[in-house]
Amino acid sequence: MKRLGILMLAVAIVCAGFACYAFAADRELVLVTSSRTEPVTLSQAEIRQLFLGHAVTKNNLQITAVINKSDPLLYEVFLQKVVFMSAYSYERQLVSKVFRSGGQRPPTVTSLDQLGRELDKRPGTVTFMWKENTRKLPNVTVVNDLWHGSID
Amino acid sequence: MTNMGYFIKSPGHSGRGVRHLMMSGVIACLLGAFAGPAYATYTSEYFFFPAAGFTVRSEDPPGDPKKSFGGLELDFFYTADIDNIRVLAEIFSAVDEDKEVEIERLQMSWAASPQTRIWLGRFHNPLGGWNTLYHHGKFLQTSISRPGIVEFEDDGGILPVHVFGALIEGRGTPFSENWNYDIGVGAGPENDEGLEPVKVLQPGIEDNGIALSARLYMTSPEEPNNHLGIFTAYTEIPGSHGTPADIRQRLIGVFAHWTVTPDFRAVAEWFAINNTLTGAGTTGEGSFNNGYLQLEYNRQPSWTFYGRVEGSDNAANDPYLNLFPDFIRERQLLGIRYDIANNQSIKAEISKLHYLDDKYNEATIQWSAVYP
Repeated sequence: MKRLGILMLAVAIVCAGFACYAFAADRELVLVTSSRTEPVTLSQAEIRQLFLGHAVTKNNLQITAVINKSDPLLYEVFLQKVVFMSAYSYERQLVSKVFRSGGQRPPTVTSLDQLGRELDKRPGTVTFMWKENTRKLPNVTVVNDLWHGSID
Repeated sequence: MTNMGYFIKSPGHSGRGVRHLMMSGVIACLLGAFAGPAYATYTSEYFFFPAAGFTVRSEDPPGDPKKSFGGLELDFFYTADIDNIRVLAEIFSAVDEDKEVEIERLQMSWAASPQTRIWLGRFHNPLGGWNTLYHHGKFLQTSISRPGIVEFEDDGGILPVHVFGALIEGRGTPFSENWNYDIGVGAGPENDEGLEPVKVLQPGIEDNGIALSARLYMTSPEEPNNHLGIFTAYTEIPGSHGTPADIRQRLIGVFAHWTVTPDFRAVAEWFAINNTLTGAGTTGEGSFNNGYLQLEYNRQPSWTFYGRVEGSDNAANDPYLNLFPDFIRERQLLGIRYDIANNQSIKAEISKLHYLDDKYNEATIQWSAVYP
């Protein structure tokens, strides 16, 4: 009886491990836009330019970026996998770009509701979010897959 | 033979009055644009850059009795877009032994196309990369000090860093969207025991010559902050009191600001400068080269280690450089930067500097920040 208990405990631990692994592997970072925007294709270089505050025009439509800080982990993954910078360097780059020749930094949002409103404001606005969260915002469509993998 | 006819100056007051009127008109347009946000689309940003530093020197340069000194700097920046019009202003104030307040940039531009912008006002001359990347925002540059060759006029600089006139910025050329250009034309500085650029609030009090500049550079599609390019400039610099003479300065150069890996960045610029001095019955000419290399290693997320080497060639034979005893001809520098937060940093530098007749060691520590 004691052996059976130990065996069941071991099986439970292994199952829990697999479940955690499966959950971790599920994280997908995607670039989204309002469903009102005509479909666009953006290269990795263009996406990086956008989030560094540079202008990108596609099919005569000016694409603009919104920085999504609704989830600290999401923002950290964005920094590491999309712009390849620390938060300190990235935010210094954004200020530097405006300081050099004017214009504005990409707006920042801190909640999904705010994000939905920003995307609706103007066609051509893009942002990044977890793929699983796109279900919470019915008015967004996925433009690009930015990254997927596990997070320890 | 002073060739005065080439300068935008005249012996009497009539030319100065016309120039004063023109500059005042440009300033009035700029101030008018600031005043009216009641347009279809209006967006704006502002930044406030404070910095406080303290320096200790091993030996004083000539004319400077202090072995240690400190100071506080405040730089305020504002920009706004009103439809296709953009205005930009930068006001710098130093609370040190000089106690200066100056409008460093006051510009208005019109977006002729998504890639082309035409600016009017006082701007930073597109000489190399450093001069237009960092301006007066100490927090933005990795190091505390600027390279000597692009030092501001107030601090012993030898180049026309600020120009009042027109600037065309082209982002993307017909040949490639990764090639960019800048073309500047305007009024350069006067030489009055140091270069004196046009003062925005007192236009026309100096005699100013023509300043022409052009820059062509490429950016990397993967890293838009990587710049590699060439530049050239021609500037006529009138002397204020007959002696020293009027100066014609021609220069060409190359520059590279390149992020090699996310942790490693290299910055290099090289200038070849020719100066002709005329006046007081004599003519003198000289040429020299100056360049620097700065390497930066970023230990994520907070630490950056950097070093810079600056050097000049043939500097002793240029009569123009003899007018600038505060020009740094050579410097070897090591520094460290620690980012306390997204908007604050502490930097420390040790350096060995060579001036015209003197050399000494220097250590500086500085806190700098940006708000909001």
